[in-house]
Formats: sequence, structure tokens, C-alpha cells
Amino acid sequence: MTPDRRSRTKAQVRRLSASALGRLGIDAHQYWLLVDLLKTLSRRQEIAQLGSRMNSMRKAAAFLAVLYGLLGVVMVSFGVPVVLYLTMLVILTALQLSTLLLPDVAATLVNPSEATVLGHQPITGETWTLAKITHLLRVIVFIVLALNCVPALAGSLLLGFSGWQSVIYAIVHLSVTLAVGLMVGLGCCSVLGWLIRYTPPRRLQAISAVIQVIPMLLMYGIVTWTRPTRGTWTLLETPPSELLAAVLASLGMPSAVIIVGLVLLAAWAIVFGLRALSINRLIRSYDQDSVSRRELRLRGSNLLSFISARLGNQVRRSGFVYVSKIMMRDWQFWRNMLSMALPALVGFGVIFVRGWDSSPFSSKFTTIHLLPHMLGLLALISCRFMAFGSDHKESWLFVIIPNQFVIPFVQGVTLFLLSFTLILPHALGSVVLTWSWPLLDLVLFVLFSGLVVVLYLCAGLRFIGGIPFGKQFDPDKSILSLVFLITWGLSMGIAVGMQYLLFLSYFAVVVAIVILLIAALFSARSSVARFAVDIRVHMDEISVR
Amino acid sequence: MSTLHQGTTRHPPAPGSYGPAVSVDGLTFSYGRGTVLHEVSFEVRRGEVVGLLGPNGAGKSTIIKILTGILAPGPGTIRVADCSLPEESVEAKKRVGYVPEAGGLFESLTGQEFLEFMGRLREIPEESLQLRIARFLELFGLAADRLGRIDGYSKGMRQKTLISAALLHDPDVVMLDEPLSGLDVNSSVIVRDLIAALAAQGKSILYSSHVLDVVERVCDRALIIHQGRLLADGDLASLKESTKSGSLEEVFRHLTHTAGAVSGVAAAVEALRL
Repeated sequence: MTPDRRSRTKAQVRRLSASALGRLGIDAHQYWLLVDLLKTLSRRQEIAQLGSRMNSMRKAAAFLAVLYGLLGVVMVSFGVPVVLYLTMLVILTALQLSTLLLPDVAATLVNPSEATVLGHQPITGETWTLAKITHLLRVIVFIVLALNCVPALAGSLLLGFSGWQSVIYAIVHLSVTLAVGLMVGLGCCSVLGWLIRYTPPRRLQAISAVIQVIPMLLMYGIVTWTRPTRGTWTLLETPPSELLAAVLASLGMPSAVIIVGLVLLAAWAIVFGLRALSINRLIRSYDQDSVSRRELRLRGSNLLSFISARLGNQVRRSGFVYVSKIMMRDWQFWRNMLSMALPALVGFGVIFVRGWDSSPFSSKFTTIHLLPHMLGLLALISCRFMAFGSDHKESWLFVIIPNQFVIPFVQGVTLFLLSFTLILPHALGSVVLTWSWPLLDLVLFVLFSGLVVVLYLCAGLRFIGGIPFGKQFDPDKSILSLVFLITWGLSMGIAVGMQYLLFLSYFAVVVAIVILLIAALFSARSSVARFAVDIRVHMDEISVR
Repeated sequence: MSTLHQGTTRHPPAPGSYGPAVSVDGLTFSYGRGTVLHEVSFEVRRGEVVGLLGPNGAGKSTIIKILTGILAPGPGTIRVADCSLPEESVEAKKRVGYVPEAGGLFESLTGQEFLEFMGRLREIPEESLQLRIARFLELFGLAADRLGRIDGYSKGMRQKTLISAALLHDPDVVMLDEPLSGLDVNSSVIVRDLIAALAAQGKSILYSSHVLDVVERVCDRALIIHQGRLLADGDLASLKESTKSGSLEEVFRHLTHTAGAVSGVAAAVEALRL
């Protein structure tokens, strides 16, 4: 379709819809203006996330389409019962959608720009709500179709459907997932609409990033559970009707109760979701913003205050406090950290639980060898995400800092990162490991691990590349590329192999510690100097802007 | 170019429109637990420029947000441009132009796009809209930057865009919350002339500001509010006379009890030596 023809068709659709919209009490002119506005803002990433991330969402959807397509094909090839197949895909779609939508909805509901620009415009509540629903639907349809097109087609092979039966299955599959997707979208709106009553809008985005973890964890759980284990094979051999009955029985409730519960849940999502998208909510967010300025009280951490008070130099202290405070309060940092560092943290927990009882010197392989590298990854990821901040525009403040203050500032930042990624986890780990390892083993391992983390951190400092939290995050560019993660994984594998051999001898470990200490000293000095240079370059860039 | 009302002639109120353009009677408003406005009552007559003065946190912006229909008012009676609030807030919003103190712009739009959106939302005919946009952009020297994204605009350019957007639909009542914030001298003079010209056409203007000498030059009347209570409402000459003050600044300090701030200044300067 040519652009001319497309715009003519669009104009015709809009003309035809005007009377229908008018009958619903909606101003068609304003409705289409708002729909166009939201679309433009989405494309240009005005609203921090919603639709906003359509460009990056397109990439994510393409990746997930391949992943879900493969999952569908694998499940079909294992001959999973059709009820289980559809249920699994519906649940995974719902969880996936909620991880993508939660922060987006938060950004739409509480975008301060929207409140200040549109709060005083003569827009009726119905018009506003419908425009928002339209936009939300666009995002939901886009994601649900991307995730389920291939699985819907693959699923029709399960019962040996042919011809029109396959088409009907595909339609049923897509309809069910779309309906559930809509409920999830409205459910996200209702949760955040409820939260906004108690939370200042500017903190809601951070809270949504935390809530986002819940469906993410559930997804990890489901993916782990569906790995082909003995239990899974038993499931595959169970007829669908028995399986459904077993699931209901395991929940300990009659099926009618569960059905009524689901219907009530859907009704709650619809009613409160629509209410959350109303113009009153927008006004409330404006109202709340004024409240937040008056009532917001942030607590400080006693531990951080204790450490920062002992840094001696006021500039060093300011660097320490700056990073510690912003790190805790920057919702964009949290959002990135939670999505990327979560697997690292889960891995960290698994490693610790499985390896805590056997010393690395015990000649048998223990997962504890992975520990310094997981902490190192945490340091790398933290540094990488620290480069970007929600309040990046405020980094002009650094331009007025005298040049000689940059080095102590950088030292303060580095000391905070050391406390966060090295001192604190090693101190906590040592307390637990004292019970199961000989003291010498523990001391040598902690020294070795700490020095490895320092090396990682030195590399990480180079990732910041300027004033911490001072750059604008571009959702179109991935902060951590897949190539980086693969390279890190391979390097870690080699390093852990060498480590295992090294820990067969106490003498070799002592020699390695000495070598690592020298390397850490040199690289710390050079990384801190480089970090200071990066900050100065960034300051110059800001001052000529 | 005249900077004051000199040489301008006030038009009589438009036929059929009688009574004040803004009327507030016994307005009380609370954010959560704290009451920020206590039974505030005042009027703004047609063609009048009224200054709304008060220290930070006095409740000036809250009054303006209520009058523009952003915040739902508490107890009290409010009429703006012949519409009762909150019942007829959509209709009132059509007749009001508002320049917010901060924000109020979609950063990723260009200046031209933003003004077009605002104009279309108010259903201004396209030809007229483009003409109005061009005139305002020219007036404020923004024509060359009209296709640049707003996130690249300076504070002054943003303020000029906001003022243009507030006036595009020829509102009957204009609410200005610190409109000169970030503007250079020339632009400030233009805005002051604009206010005078709009008042001369019978528009009513509520002008909230901290800059007292500008208020003194632009406004016919002043409202002084402190801790949510209206302390004074009158023309500038009578306010000066009643408080035996020589300037609006003295009136303000007298009424808001900030004359004692001098000792606080001395203490702060003393602290710099410690």
C-alpha cells in the first residue's frame, strides 16, 4: 500500500469511526490526536518505557518469537498433551508479558510530562481512557502474536489435526493467549493504579522494577520444572483429563471454586485496570507529585554512613555517598540490574549452597570455584549500568568541580564498589564458611577470590567511561551484548579449570595470590587514573554542549 | 515598544459576559493531611491583570492548578470563565490558557509539532493554526529552531514554547505561573507587552510570581497569600497606603513577616567563617 493510499484509508476509517465514538461520548478528533501522539512518543521513546520501547521491544519480540517457536516445536516433538501445551504457553505468555508491561505501564500511568502537559487540556475522561487502552492494546497484540504465532501452528500437530481443524486450533490458541494478555495488561494497570495511591509517582517506576522480578522468577521456576526429568516423562504419559484433575486435586479446591476465582480475578483486572487508565488517575499522579515533595522521607543506611564517615577526605566521601545513594534510588539502574544481575545472583546462591561444605583444596571439584567470577560479573554489570542514569541531565553539576577533586572523587566511587562487591560478600561468606572449612583454606581462598574480584572491578571501572549515572540510556542499544556474556562465560570456564588445578597445591595458591596482588595493584592504579580521565573528558563534553 | 499599559485602551467586557472572569469563594484545599489553602476568596475581573504573590509553599501554584482544572477543588465555590468547577471543568479548560511553572512539554516532539498538537487539541482551524504558530514563533525568535526537538531547547526556549501554547487558542482567561522564569531581558519585555495587549483586549490574567518589581509594573491589583491564607487583596496604591509602605516589596515583607530575615542572613554569613 502506497503512503498516499494508506493515509486516505486512515482518514476514511477515522471519519467512519467518528459517529460510533461520538455515541460512546468520545471526542473522535481528540481521540485520534491522542492515539497519534502516543504512537509518536513511543517511537521517539518519550515515555520512558511504554510503547516507548517499541523499537527495542521489536528486537525483544523477534528474539522471543524464535525462543517460543523453538519451545513450541520441542514440546510438540515430545508429544506433550494439548491441554498441558496450551496451559504452559498461556502461563509463559502471561508471565513474559507482565515482565515487559509492568514498568511500561508504570511509566505511562505516572509520566510527569503527561500530567503537566495534558492535565489542563479540555480532554474528557472517556476519550483519554480509550486512547490509552488503544495504545496498550497495540503493545499487547504485538507481543502476544510474536510469542505465539509459531507455537499456535506447531500445536495443531499435537492431535494430528488436518486442514481447517489446524486453523481452528491456531485461532483458539491465539484467542486464548490474546484474552489472557489483555487481562495481564489490565492487571498490571490495576496493580500500579492501586500502588499510586500510596506511592509517589517517581518511586513507582522503581517499585514496578522490583515487582517485575516476581513473574521473572516464576518463569525461571517453570522453565526449570519443564526440563525433561523423570517427573516430566510421567506427566507426558498422563492423559490430559487425568492431568487436569490431578492439578485441581493438588490445589486442594473443587474446580468450580478455581473457575469462580479466575473469573473474579479477570473482573478485578478489567474494573480496576480501566479505572487506573482514567484521567482522574492522571490528575491524582499530579496531585501525588506535590505530596511526594512534601512527605518523602528517605532513610539513610547506617552502615554506609559509618564507612563514608571514615574516608578522611570530604571529596572522597562525596564520591562514595553519591554512588551509594544514586545506586539505591535510580529506577533505571535498578531495572537494568534486576533483569540482568538476577541470574547472576541466583547462580551465586546456588554455588554457595552446593559448595559451602567442601573446601576448594579438597581435590574434588566444588562449585565454590565459580564464586569470585560470579562476584566479578556482578562488579562488571554494576559498573556498566552505572554509566547511565535517569537524571543524566544533572551531570552538568560536575562541570563546576575543580580538576584536582576528580581523583579523590573517583577513589570514593571505587571504594564504594569495593565495599559492595568485595568486602561485604566476602565478610558474609567467611562467617558461614568458618564452620565447614579449615581456617588456612578459608584465608587463602578469600584472599584469592578478593584479588580476582579486584581485577574484575578494575576492568569494570573502564566500562563506566565518564561521570557515573551521567549518560542517557538508549533502549535501542543493548548495554551488555550477548557476545560479551558468551566471552565471559568461556573465559570463566577456562579460569575455573585452571583454578581447580591450582588449588591442588597450597604453594601454587600462595604464588598465585602474590602474582594477583601485584597485578591488582597495577591495574587498580591504572584503572582509577583512566576513570578520572574519562570523567574529565565527559565533563568537557558537557561543558561544550 | 511600550513595556507597560501606557497608550493601550481597555476594551469593555464582551457583550453577554458580565461578572468576574474568575471567582473564588471560601476555597479550602488539602494534600493528604495538611491543609494548604484556608477559605481563600477573591475575584479577577474581565480585562484585569492580577498578581498572585506569596513566599515559597504559600499555595500560589495550588490555586492556579485548581483554577485550571488540574486539581479537584475542596470545599468552596469556584467559577472560571462562566463555568463552575469542577462540574464544568472541560468547558472551563477550553477557555483558559495556562503556563505551568515547570515541565509541561513533551521532550521528544519538535517545537512546531508541540504547538500543532496543542492547537489541534483545541480544534483551531488548520490555516489559522499555522498562521498563529508562525506569528508566535517569530515573536519569540523561535522560527529557526521550530523543527528542533524540545529536549534540545534551552530553558528560555521552553518557556517561550509554553507561553505560545497557552495563548494559541485565544483564551478568555490566562493563568501564568512564573512566566518570566528563564527568559532573557528582551523576551521578558515581549511577554510583559503581550500581557498588557491581552488585558487591553479584555482578557483576564492571573499572574503568579516572586519577582515583585515585574508584578508592580504589570498588574493592576495584587493578591498576597501566605501559608494558604489570603492576607491582602487590592490595587497596588491602596496596599502601599494601608501598610504605609513605599514599594510592593515592603508591603510583601510587612504582610508575610519576612522583615526579620535580615538577622537570619547575618547568621548564615557568619556560618561561612566557621
